[in-house]
Amino acid sequence: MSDFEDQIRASAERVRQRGSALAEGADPKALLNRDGPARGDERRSRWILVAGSVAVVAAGVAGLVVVGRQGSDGAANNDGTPVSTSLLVTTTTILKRSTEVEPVITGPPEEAVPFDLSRPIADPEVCETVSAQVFSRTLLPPYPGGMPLTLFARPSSLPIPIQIIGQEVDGPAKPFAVLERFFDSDRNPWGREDPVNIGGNDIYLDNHLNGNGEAVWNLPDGSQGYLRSRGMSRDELLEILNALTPRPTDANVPGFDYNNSEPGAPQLVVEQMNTDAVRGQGAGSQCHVVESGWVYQISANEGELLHRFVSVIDRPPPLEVGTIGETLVIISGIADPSAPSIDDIVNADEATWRGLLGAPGRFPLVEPPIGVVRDVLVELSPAEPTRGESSSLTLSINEREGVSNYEIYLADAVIADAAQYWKIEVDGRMSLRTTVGSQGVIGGRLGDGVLTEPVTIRISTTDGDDFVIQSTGDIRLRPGP
Amino acid sequence: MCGVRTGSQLNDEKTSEGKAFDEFVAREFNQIVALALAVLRDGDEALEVAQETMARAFSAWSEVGVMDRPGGWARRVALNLVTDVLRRRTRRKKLHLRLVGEHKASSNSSEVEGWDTEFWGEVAALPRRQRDVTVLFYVHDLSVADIALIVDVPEGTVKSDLSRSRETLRDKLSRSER
Repeated sequence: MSDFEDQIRASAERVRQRGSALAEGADPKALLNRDGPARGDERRSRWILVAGSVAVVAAGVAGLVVVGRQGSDGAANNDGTPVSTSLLVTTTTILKRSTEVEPVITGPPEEAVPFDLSRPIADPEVCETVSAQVFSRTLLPPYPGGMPLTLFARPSSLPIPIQIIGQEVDGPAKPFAVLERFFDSDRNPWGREDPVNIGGNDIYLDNHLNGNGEAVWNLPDGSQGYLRSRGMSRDELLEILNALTPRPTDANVPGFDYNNSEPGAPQLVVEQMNTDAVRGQGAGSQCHVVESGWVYQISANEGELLHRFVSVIDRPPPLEVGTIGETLVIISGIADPSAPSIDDIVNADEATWRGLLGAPGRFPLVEPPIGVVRDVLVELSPAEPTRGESSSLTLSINEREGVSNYEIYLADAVIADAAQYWKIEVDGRMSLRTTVGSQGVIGGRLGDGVLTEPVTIRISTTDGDDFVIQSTGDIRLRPGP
Repeated sequence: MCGVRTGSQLNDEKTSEGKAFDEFVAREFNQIVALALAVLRDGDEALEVAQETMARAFSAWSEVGVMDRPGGWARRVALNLVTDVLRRRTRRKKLHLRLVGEHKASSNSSEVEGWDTEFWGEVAALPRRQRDVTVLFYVHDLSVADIALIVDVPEGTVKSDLSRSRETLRDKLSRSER
């Protein structure tokens, strides 16, 4: 052994002795008698935010727009009361060119309020529940460490107005469109089809096979409009696009005016900046249908209207969306006659729920066949039990234009506090590393053509030192028959 | 709060669960103090880390108590807490720098002296995984296989981390001696 090695070992022995001496005079259980909830309960309540007086200040230079919003921009929810922005007592937002938007907090978050369906499970006779979790899919700007709401993996250095056009009653469960306007976009508008010209603007409009619609267009002032829809036809989208007029950039919400007075036409139901608070809470469970073998994800979301709308759209198209009382219920999984439906969803009793929260889940991790199953639910587990809870991700494999890609939908992921990066490894090699601020969907390339060999994907979150905080473990996918 | 008992309740009851936890504390506390002390070089902070680790073990005892290696779990928790302390220190230093305009050494009372101070200071400055692996290897005298389980990386990674950290430490310490 070298002198240096000897030196280290001697030093380590001195540290051990000093540690023992310190420990002798200390009470190992000094912190055990503290009152209050277990850490997990604290953590769960942290994301459930009810903002008091809030001031959101976007840091940077060269600014414009919204000052002194009072949050009564006219939108109404089901019972006619003002929604969303009215919940902020005072919000001052200054749009500035910056890569950061730093929230400044005034006023403490209030306590979580129980909601109607806080322990959603399927009727055990239809689908056997195997695990559950409490989650929020929305990052909340006023909460310390919160970030602006970024949808569809389209971040922006400038605040984004978000508007929802849909139905006023049970809106999230019906077809709707999300409208955004970017003031710093350098993405070129692109679509599979030729653009349609509306009001002098070339609008690229796509209706995807999965029922989601997408439109993007540049505006003469250099900004860019972006629309995503769920369950709307091309004609319905064209009707919406024809009814839009860009607002001045100094408007409170500098998105679009929407004029459509046709009876039954969708309406502007909620709007706010992505830097404003979004309050919401959710709970979910996974269940397993024995006869088919499929696993289903059930989530129940309660909170502001925007939170509920976004819960539905920024994810793969759900199997079914519905409301139970005031709670929005989403079922995801494979379409099959044996799949659970909204009518099968019930509230678990507390004891059952507690047991499910600690359960490891049962995901189809064993070589799900690509081509047969496009989207698989995978479990993201904390590397250390006290640092976060298990939650789920949806991994989707697709072949497009001769290239096989993976996409990971982050909608249901609960990201641990310490996590700073997503790290995706394909067959043991780094494929993608991106900040956990990325929301919606992240993805990368698996290879040319349709996959003919099995592939292993591992999805993790890490801290700044590449230390794994959460991981799915290896997910082995095999080509379909 | 349902399901949450205080430490004294657990101890007073002297349930079998409580006894198992007591044994865990008796076995692990000193070790965790030494582990934290090696990186933090501050007795108070090392004790805090160890006490917090015990508190977390207590609050999750239904899971931790049935693990094959609850000691490994505790070490992992402690190393995460040590990282939190180091980050807090960095933030404090930056704040101090901003307020006072000059950088001063940490006022923490060092519990290690001489060459040890310098050596463990360099260990603390290693990339996180290398640091954790090094401390577990030398202070806790754990095998590469055991460390791999705690840090959740393959054994080969532990070996290469150890090799790199030795190289870095040797290099830095020999430079400072010149």
